[in-house]
Amino acid sequence: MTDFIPNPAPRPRHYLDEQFWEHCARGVLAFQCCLDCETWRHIPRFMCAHCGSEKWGWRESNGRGEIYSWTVCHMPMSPEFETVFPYAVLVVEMEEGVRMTAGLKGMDYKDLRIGLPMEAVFEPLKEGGQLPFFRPRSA
Amino acid sequence: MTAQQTIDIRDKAAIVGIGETEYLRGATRPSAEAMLEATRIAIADAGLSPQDIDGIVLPPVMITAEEVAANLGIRDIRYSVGINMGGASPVTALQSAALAIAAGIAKNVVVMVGWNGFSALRPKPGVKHREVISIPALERTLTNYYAPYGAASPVQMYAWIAMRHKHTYGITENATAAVAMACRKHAQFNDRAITRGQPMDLDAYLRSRMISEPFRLFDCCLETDGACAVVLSSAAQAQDLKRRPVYIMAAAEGHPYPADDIANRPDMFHIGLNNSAPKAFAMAGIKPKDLDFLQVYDCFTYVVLLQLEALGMCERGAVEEFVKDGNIEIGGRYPLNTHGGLLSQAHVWGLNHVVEATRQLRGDAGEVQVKDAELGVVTGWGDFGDGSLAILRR
Repeated sequence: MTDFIPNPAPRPRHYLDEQFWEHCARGVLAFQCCLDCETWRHIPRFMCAHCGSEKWGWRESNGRGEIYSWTVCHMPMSPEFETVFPYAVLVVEMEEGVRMTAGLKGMDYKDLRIGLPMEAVFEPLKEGGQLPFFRPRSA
Repeated sequence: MTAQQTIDIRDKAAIVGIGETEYLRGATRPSAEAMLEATRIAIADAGLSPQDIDGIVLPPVMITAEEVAANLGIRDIRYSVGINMGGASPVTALQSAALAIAAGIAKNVVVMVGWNGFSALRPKPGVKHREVISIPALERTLTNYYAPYGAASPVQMYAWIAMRHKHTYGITENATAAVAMACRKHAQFNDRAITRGQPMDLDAYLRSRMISEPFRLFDCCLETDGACAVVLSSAAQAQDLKRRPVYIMAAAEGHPYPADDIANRPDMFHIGLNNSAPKAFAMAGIKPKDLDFLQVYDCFTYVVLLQLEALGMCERGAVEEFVKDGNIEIGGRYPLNTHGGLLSQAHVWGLNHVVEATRQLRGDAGEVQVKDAELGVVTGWGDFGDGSLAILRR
């Protein structure tokens, strides 16, 4: 059973999630890559949906991507976000081909547009670990 | 190998009974009790007795098939399944019920939904108890990859699809306003509508506060308490029951890919309904343009726009043209959500849309009766864009 009130710290279900967040805690943005067909993937999976291989490894992303979509939340859904709203939640398309959701740093959300070049930066979580955010970069 | 080994569900089952509780904000009883009330009404509406029910199909609600049977005195349940597609579950349940009836597994199947979506889902002052809903397909994605950024509610996550669609195709607020205003207009004629007596014009829509861009308050459905239920029987038996049968011509479920992560879809606008709609129209042997009315799952206005395109009512990106000039209002070519929908009647997971479609095809829809209505569609949308539909005829 789940309710809609989030716990802001990631809650890994198993080792795939744990390893993604362990990389982030060290300031490394890494995604899974298939060792057979070289297809990158996110969110973490046990198998490659492209070729069916169960062989994979973590590869460091160059942290570069562009805005694919976003929303700006004007009504915080949990107490943790009451002090920061309005806040943007982005979908960023990485140069490696995967997309990830993330928060925004370093610019006004009113200037967001599809295709804007971004780069990853890490912010500490109060519960420990680090969370990737994105800030604008020069193309 | 023979070419035809599939079970044909077209026209094999009919909706024979409908039931609704009062829809309100501030229920004082558990949703399980409300669901049983709606079910008793639906069974009586069909002219059946509880012991005639031998199939139960449930969305992830706060009651089990076992509890339903024990309360109603049903001694021989032959078919019980749970559907886990969030708000798409009730329409998917119609497919499951029709399949069980077509296969001869069950004779009379009940589908019910109820929740205290206002009183018990999110904390409110003075609330005595909480009721939560189960979303197992999404929990891992939510708690690891979305919620840490403050995105944990459907209004925020569907906004990613809407925002990209809006910017890609230049959709304006006139399109979402048209959906919100059509639903509100229709609710003015509905006894059960929470917003009856509260008409809304374009200014009021545009003045409503932003919740999660591009969704304003009046783009969002109501939070309400209540329950409804429908009973399905075989087409053959339906002719001998109390009410004019409403036949399931076709039903299908669809899931986007990947269904458990909105961000990584190759085509973000390819929703579950893009997969299910062509199958259902082929099964029914009709075209989208043949429909007399549309009951479209309206958790958010923009979700209706996406579904209208996925249904094939118009080309992708052309939906603003489709919804303008009263086309989706009563008296227009494709009246939408003639009961007010989740936006303006009540949020009963879209089973209230099935109830309204049944009323329309019985000819019992009162002041919002679509003249000579013969064919209608009901859609369901749930989780991260799952999409079901049922095509109904009188």
